[in-house]
Amino acid sequence: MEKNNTLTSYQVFVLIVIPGFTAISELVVGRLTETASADNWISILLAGAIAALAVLVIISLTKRFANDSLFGFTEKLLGKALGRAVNMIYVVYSLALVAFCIRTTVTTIYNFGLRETPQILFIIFYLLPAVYISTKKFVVIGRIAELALVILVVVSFTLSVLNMRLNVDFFRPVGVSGLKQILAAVLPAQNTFIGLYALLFFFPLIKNKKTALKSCLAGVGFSTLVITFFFVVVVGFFGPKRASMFFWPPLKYLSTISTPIFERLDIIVMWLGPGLSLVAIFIGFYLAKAGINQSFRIEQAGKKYIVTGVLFIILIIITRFSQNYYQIIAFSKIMEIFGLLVNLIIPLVLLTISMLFKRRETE
Amino acid sequence: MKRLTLVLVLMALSLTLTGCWDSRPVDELGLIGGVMVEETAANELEVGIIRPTFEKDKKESDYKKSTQAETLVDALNNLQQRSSKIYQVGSIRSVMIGKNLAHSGIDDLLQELDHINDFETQALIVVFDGTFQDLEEFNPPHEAISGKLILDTLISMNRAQQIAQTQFYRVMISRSIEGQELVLPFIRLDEKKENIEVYSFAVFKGDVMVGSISLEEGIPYIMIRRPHIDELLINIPRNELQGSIFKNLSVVLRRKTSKISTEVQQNKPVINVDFKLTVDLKSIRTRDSIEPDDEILKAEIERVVAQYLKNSCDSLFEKTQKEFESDIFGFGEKVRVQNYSYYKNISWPDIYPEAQISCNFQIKLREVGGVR
Repeated sequence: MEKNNTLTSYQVFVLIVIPGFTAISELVVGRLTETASADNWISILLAGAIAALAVLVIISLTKRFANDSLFGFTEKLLGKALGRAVNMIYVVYSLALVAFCIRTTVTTIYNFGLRETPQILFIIFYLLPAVYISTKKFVVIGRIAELALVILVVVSFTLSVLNMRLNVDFFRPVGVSGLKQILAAVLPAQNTFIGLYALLFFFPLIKNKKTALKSCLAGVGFSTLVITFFFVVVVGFFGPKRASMFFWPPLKYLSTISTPIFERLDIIVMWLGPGLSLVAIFIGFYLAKAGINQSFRIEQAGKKYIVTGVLFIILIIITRFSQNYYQIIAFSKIMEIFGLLVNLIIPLVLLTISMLFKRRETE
Repeated sequence: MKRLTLVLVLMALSLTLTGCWDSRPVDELGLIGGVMVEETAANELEVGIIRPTFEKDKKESDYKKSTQAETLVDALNNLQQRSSKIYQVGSIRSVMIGKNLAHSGIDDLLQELDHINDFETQALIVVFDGTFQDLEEFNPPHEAISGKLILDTLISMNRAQQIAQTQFYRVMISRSIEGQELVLPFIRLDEKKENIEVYSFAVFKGDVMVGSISLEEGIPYIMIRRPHIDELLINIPRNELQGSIFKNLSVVLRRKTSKISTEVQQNKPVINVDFKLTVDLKSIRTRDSIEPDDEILKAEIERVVAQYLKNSCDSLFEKTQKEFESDIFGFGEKVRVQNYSYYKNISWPDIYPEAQISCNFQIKLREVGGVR
């Protein structure tokens, strides 16, 4: 591990928090309210509990291979062929994450502002920095995430103070939508933790591994509380039925706020949002590239450039799909299931195998 | 530090980027300040747009421009084709719904507005008691610009006449809540056709206007649904003062809190509203030869105001139950919250006319000394 490529506890915290708060967080609220249930704040808390469990599993697993990232230890655990197959699942997920973040953000920009500008320009605008960052050390993303957290706090603060008119009656009586409805909404809420799998990769880079668990759990707790807050503010204002009609409920909420200085607060926040989504895009692209390079042991600079170029083209092609709301919703449903697979199920299987066959790096 | 400065400078610079493809020269834009939408005899929509002209010498504005089409969007497209300017739907600040349309249902119009991406969610929605002809005859004082005056009047309702503060997003929220009917400001031109006034509330059942209530009648509605409106002036009518020591009495309602409690008795909802109000004295005249001391005067004012408001409430409850069958107070929402097992088995609009509603007032007069 290089000395100048280590992550502080705070960077670990923000790397857990930020990926969920891209345009996705707006989408999560939209997907949750889609079911027209005001009880979905319970679903978010349950999703948070599942994410905390995923953190425990991932850290238990990565601790057994403290100096190796996911792309290295899968082959040790499962053998070369199966290990590579698992790695490829994570590479595909990373690419899907980048495409999803870009697609949702670009659609937001298109619908709320720039309708004439070709969307491909925005896609390239997002991908080029991701390509550049992927040539740097991972800690660079950690530093950017620190800055993004400031934006997140500003956005949350703006939401909380400017138009806080909650109708608590919308949430009463609690639990009336039924257990089935609440559980059904846990999966969409999982998108808040869309980038949790990155911990499998960056755990070896953490400077103080003793506090890593606390930092990660704090990140999950913080994310859960903030997304619950978003949900309560938006649904408490519009009511579940009205909120369920929006694709981007928080932006709609912001459009109802009038301030003496800014006439359209939603537009300003809409431009801050893409700043948040950059972190998830950087992480996704970085891990996709690292996954291929490590799995196929690509070390020559020229070949690495080819990999980057191929990924770039693949992503441009993927992001050209799903250009309308329905397709994005379908995309998000795939990401929910895919996310649960890579964040919890695969790490759990790997941990079980590791424990059963007593395979660990220290042995 | 240098890096941070660089990042901040780049962020600041990004705010100056307007987007080349989406940029529009200002002189190509056609701002639409407001629209009036009315239903024609052929069940089509007639849509007129109000385009403010800001040249002081030019008295005539573009508000007369109107067209007929099946939908609002079609009508706007028709108007667009006839204009050299690019109309900006995002600049609409007020939508005036004609009386005929209000009586036949406004949901289609609201849905259309909701689906226009650029439409400003804070635009005011009002029902206009008049015709396009009235708008054409609208003759504001000579120094005013007609189109602009209509807009200014409607927009200033935000500040001066908060009663009329019915933004589009509030209308849509209201339409989405079961057990709470819609109320919109009812506006008209004054007799000389020089000004616009809010003269009553249009009451809806579902999306259909079923009647109207005067501003005075609507005071209990304001106290329950819009408690944030401050300085609500109440002039007690003379007939309500008979038997009291006052010749006339006006108070200003300051703080208004209402607590609605519901229960179910013999399978019928029983609703009780407890008001706690703080009032200031605005003007008072006692009958000749009566000079009560402050405490007696205070108690008497509180009693008279409470009695008047209670009568107003009972009268409005009855009117909304028997005449309109429309729960404009949102009692249904309270019944849902407090008696869910009962609520889920009924259709609230059908039950509302049979509900037993009562109210109690606790009035606190702040000062009397300064006025006497």
